[in-house]
Amino acid sequence: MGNQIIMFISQIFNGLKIGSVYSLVALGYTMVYGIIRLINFAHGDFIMVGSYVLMLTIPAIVAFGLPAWVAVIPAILMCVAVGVIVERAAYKPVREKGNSMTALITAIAMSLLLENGSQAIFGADYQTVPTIIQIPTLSIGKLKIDGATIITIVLGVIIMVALQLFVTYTKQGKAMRAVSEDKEASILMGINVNSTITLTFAIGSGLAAVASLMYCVSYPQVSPMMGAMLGLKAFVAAVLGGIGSIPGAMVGGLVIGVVESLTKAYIGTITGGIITSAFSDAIVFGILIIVLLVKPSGLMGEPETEKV
Amino acid sequence: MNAKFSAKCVALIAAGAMSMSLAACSGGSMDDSSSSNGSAANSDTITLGSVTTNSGTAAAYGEAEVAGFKLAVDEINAKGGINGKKVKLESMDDKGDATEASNAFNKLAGDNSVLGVVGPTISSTTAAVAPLADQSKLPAIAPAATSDSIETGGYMFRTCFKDSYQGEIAAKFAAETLKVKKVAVLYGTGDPYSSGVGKAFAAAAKKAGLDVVAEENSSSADDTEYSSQLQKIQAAGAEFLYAPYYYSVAGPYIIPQARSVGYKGYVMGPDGYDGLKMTDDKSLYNKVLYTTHYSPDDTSNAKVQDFIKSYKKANKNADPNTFTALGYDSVYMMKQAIEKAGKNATRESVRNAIAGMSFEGVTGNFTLDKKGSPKKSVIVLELKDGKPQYKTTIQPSK
Amino acid sequence: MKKSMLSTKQSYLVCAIGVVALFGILMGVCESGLVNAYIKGIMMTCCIAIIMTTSLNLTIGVLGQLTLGCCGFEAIGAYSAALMSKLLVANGVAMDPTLRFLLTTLVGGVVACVFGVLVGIPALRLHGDYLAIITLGFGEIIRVIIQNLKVAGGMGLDKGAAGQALIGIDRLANLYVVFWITVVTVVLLFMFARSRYGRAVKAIRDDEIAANASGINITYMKVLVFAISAFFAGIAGGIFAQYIGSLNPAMAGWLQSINYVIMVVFGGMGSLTGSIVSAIGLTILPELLRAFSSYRMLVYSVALVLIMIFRPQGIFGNWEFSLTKVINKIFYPVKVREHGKPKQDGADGKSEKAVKSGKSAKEADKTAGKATKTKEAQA
Repeated sequence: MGNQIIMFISQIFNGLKIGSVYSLVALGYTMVYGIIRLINFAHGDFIMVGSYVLMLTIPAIVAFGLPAWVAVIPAILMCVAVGVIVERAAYKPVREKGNSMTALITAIAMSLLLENGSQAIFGADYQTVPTIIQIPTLSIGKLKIDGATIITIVLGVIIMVALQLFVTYTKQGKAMRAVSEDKEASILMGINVNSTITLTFAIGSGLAAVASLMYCVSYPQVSPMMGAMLGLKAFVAAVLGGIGSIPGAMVGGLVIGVVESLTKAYIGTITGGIITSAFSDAIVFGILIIVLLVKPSGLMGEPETEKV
Repeated sequence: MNAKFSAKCVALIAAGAMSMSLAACSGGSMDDSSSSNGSAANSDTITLGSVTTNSGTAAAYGEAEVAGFKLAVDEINAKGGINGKKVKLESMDDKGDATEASNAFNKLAGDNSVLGVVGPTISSTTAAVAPLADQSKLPAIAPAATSDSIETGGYMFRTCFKDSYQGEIAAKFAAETLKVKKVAVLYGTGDPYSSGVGKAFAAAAKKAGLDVVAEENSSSADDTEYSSQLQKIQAAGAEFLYAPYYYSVAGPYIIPQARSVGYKGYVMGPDGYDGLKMTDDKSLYNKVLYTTHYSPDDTSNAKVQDFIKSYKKANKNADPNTFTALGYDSVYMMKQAIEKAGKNATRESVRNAIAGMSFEGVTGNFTLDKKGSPKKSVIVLELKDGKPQYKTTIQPSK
Repeated sequence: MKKSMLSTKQSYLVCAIGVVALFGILMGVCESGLVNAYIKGIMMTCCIAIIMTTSLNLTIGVLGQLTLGCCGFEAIGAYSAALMSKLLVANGVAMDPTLRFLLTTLVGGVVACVFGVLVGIPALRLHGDYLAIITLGFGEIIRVIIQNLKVAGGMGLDKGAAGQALIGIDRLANLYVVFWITVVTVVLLFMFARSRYGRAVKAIRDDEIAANASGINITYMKVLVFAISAFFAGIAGGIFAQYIGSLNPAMAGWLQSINYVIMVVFGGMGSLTGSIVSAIGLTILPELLRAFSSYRMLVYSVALVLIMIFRPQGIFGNWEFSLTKVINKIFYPVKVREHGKPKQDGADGKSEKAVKSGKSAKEADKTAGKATKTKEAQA
């Protein structure tokens, strides 16, 4: 019996390991969606960009005698640059002319562009990222807890609190909330809508770089398509938490990770082998569907009413 | 009145035309057996087609195969060609897509100068091409498509061993060489290769009297997180884990995650482990084994060292891999068959020469069985500090 | 009128003759041996792409809702048709191959349609971004389920093995039959788009709340469109299965669906002509430029962004090709300018309504004509 409980707790921690990465990615999704109501399909690919930067800069950084995680600084710079360019070059002109469908198609196109662009530059093959940090595994009795998981969760919570404070108390944060409420009215209030949106993208992309650091600590490999599935699942996490809600993204990510892990561990036994662990992806998307149908505002989001 | 009349006209014409088309006009059928039955007799070159995956996620495999084709063709031409004719290679990319592969193969089939095809690269494209090969009577040798399901017994052959065979060999190796008792298997159900090899292993292990303590799945063969399944495998007390995945998944994800949940036993995989992507801590990869087609350290086969030498000379000292070796052998199989078919080789006579042929190559000596797959020796490699070391060669049973 | 332009009935006839003539050319080139299996294969791929793109355009262009799950329905159709075909053979049902092909393809369409309704009823409560994501989710779920079904792998039915490609499907697809299926699909879709239903659907696209206020049953209309789209996607899948001969669950993935979305957007949202042209164009182009094909997706994505910025409605917008218009232009150059004035046409003692409906049917056939014509051009 004791073994069973330890097993269960271990499985929860296995889930938190990937879930904490989903959380970091979902925070970026939710920032952008909360302000401009656009599913930034390319967000997962910003993580891919960040990971490639890490892979390329870590050897140089280590050669300088600095700790490897310092490579997150060039990664943040690169991701912010890519994010702002994508916003200015593609999303902004489309937003001004088109509707929500053209905006979404543009986001998909940018995602394809980043994926295929990096495939053209780096090739389709997988490449290994050098070790970033060696984190010892915590052992409590028989229970083993991956150190990277703890750090990712702590980092996630810090970022979540910082973002929440930023959005609530700073001038730019208030401007963001105003833009998300009513774009026209905020122009009248003297808010520079375009620069506010650009700032949002810069923050979201910077978060993607931090997420890529923590992703590469646990899963040290990059490839051009790595962001696609990661981005989708993080999006599901953001929807589950209530898209637009910062704490919601954090909670949603962790929940999705744990659900995935417990599915893989127990669903075969519970259903007598009818549904196996092979269904875990289907179950994640099933959650998305149920949330969207039952409570589209998610666990912590504010319900939205349609305006004429 | 008038409107009704013309509506009737339209209906009549349409119905007439449709029934014409339904009256089984052969031209619309996709069977093209009658038209092309090419003979290279009257030209002074022999054309071999190749269909490989040179873009997309499996691009690395296709590129390596093409390198092997080119090396073999250059060697053959330097030695005066086949039956005194120079060999020309016509390469096509299928992007890993079944439709693209069909189109590419049809293009080659429509070219009467093409005597045979080497490729396709992966199992899903090969499955689409196999019936086309039978239909257009154009023999094809797939270097590395391992799926059991592509066998037709017609015009499709292969150089590599098949999935089920590889799983069986691994079970045999675990039982007889490693002498383990409790084994576990983990495979991705979404991927024909992973699930094919994994299921064959599980079945063979049970037959060999091994105790299969855990049989776990992942939903695709390119997941990143396997800790949950590995934790269960570890808890079940397995001493040997068979995890048929690709080099890009087993290396950075499965093996380190297995070690991190405390699993210390053997991890074994199929030929997909070739070129395993490893993290910096190479000590994690001790007690990792895999079956493959060829080893650079294999001293029992004299052809291996010659192959490596000539590849290095042609490719700026780069090392060939398994796919290069299989591609290289595939072209030589074609050569042997065309030589046997003689000066007036046709597609059909080449096919008959390939069927049942015995061949001695870099990837072993073998005879093709009735369904076009070889029964051949399998090489087992073990990783020592991240470097593959030759462990043993397992001869086919019987 | 008899001196000025083609009458409604005449134009019906002209189009039918046009389509038949194109079919004649198709038969001519095939029977005379001018084209080989390679060209025929590409024409077949074009037909499948046309059916997929035009039916998807009904949802994206006419209804104005972006879905990313069309390949899920294509896969359902493909697997149903393939398994049905195997079932008929296994039970020893002797049947003419063409008849079996038509029957199994229809089964594929119907099964996909049923799933379309099942998915559509819950999904279509949402719109915009959420609908796109939820259809993507359904597509992925369909993929996971197919790859875990025993009957959908290996040799299928009793010899099935989950996780394997489904192989050994009889390759019954005949180019002539597929040609006619494509023509019928395009005609039906065109007629639907121009019908009373079609106008109601466009009203929903332009303003959902206003449409609701005018008494249009929005949910019913949306599900109807979704089901029609799914039906034809299933038909395309059935053809694909019996052309290619082996199936892989990966065909249901969302990246495959995005390929068709790209075709629709390039051609023009709402323009069947555009869908047909871009389906054919984007199928042939990579074949013509095999060297360029590794950069295909890179070029597509840049082109997609540029189109979204400079011409969000797609290359053809909602313009439709019309053979009648062309003939009128050639033979009655002066009158064409008056074509826009319905009074001129209707002056012959016919109600305006009759003219209108006649015109829409006319153009339906014209589009079909265009479909086949472009196909011929490349043959």
